[in-house]
Amino acid sequence: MRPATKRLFSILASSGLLIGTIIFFSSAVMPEYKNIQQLRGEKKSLDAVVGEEDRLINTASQLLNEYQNAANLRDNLSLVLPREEALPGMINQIQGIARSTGVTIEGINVENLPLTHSEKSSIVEPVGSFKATVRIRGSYEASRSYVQSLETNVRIIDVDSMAISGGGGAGPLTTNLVLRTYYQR
Amino acid sequence: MPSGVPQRFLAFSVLVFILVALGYLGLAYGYASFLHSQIADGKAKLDELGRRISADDQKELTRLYSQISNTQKLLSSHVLASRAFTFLEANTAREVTYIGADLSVPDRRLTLDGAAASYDELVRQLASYKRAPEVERINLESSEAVGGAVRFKVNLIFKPAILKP
Repeated sequence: MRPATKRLFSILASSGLLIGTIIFFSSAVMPEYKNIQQLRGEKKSLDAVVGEEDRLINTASQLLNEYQNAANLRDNLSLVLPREEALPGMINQIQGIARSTGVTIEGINVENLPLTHSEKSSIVEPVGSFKATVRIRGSYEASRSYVQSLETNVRIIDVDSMAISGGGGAGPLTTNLVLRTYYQR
Repeated sequence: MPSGVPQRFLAFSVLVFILVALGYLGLAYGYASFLHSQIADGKAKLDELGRRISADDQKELTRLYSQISNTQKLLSSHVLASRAFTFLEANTAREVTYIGADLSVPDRRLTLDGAAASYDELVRQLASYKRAPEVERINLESSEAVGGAVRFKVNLIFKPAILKP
């Protein structure tokens, strides 16, 4: 073969190899590089999630330890907002306050109200409530003291409405109270 | 073998090919495998973290958090209806008596059914309600002179903060 022909073949082979390399680079190396970038992103976000989860688990473990050691906290919270309906307890409190303030209870009606959720996506458990209609009889001072004691009771009690009748004379007052108290489901 | 420029060109092409091929092998079988194993480790660690707190403890923690959150919310909306008594004690004239009172906490409305000694006394009483900083507005629903006294019915709307702790 003549040297000129050899040079031509050599140049053609080199060009072919270079073009092949470019094709190989764009069809195999570039997609692989994109795949690597994707994996790096996945790893980075996973590292962040693991770090955050680790922090949360540590905080939760610490909270659980503190909570298990503080039995008083659990008991006190359950007095303020019981974890069950605790209806007899509520009636007992309404009655106990009446005894201590000197009013007479003439009637109690209790109605269970629908649950209320904080937010749709929230992990917070819903709150249930009772509406109690209570009719009491007693002097002005005793009735006032009764309402104040309900408001400052350990278990949260809200007075929705209060209708007092029988004033203007010497006799005792009759008060119809609509109360609302809560529990956690 | 050709010499000179074609030879250098061929050597250059071969070198570029080898570099690209090595780069590909490094990415595909070295770094990618390393990243896959790191991701698998991360997932395993995440699973292990998930098992560190038992389902019962998770439930207990949720309940505790809910109790605190709900209690906070309920206490922030807690109302003191007995403030109506305090208001009446401070803002009732000597010549006025109440026969009945009706408080609606959500509407902040106190409806009073009372009797004043005279219309002058009723006017003084209404002016007293008007002056009271607790009252947003008043409305005299009715008044009637009956047997030497004036029976009246008045609606008071309290300001929102009055019934709050």
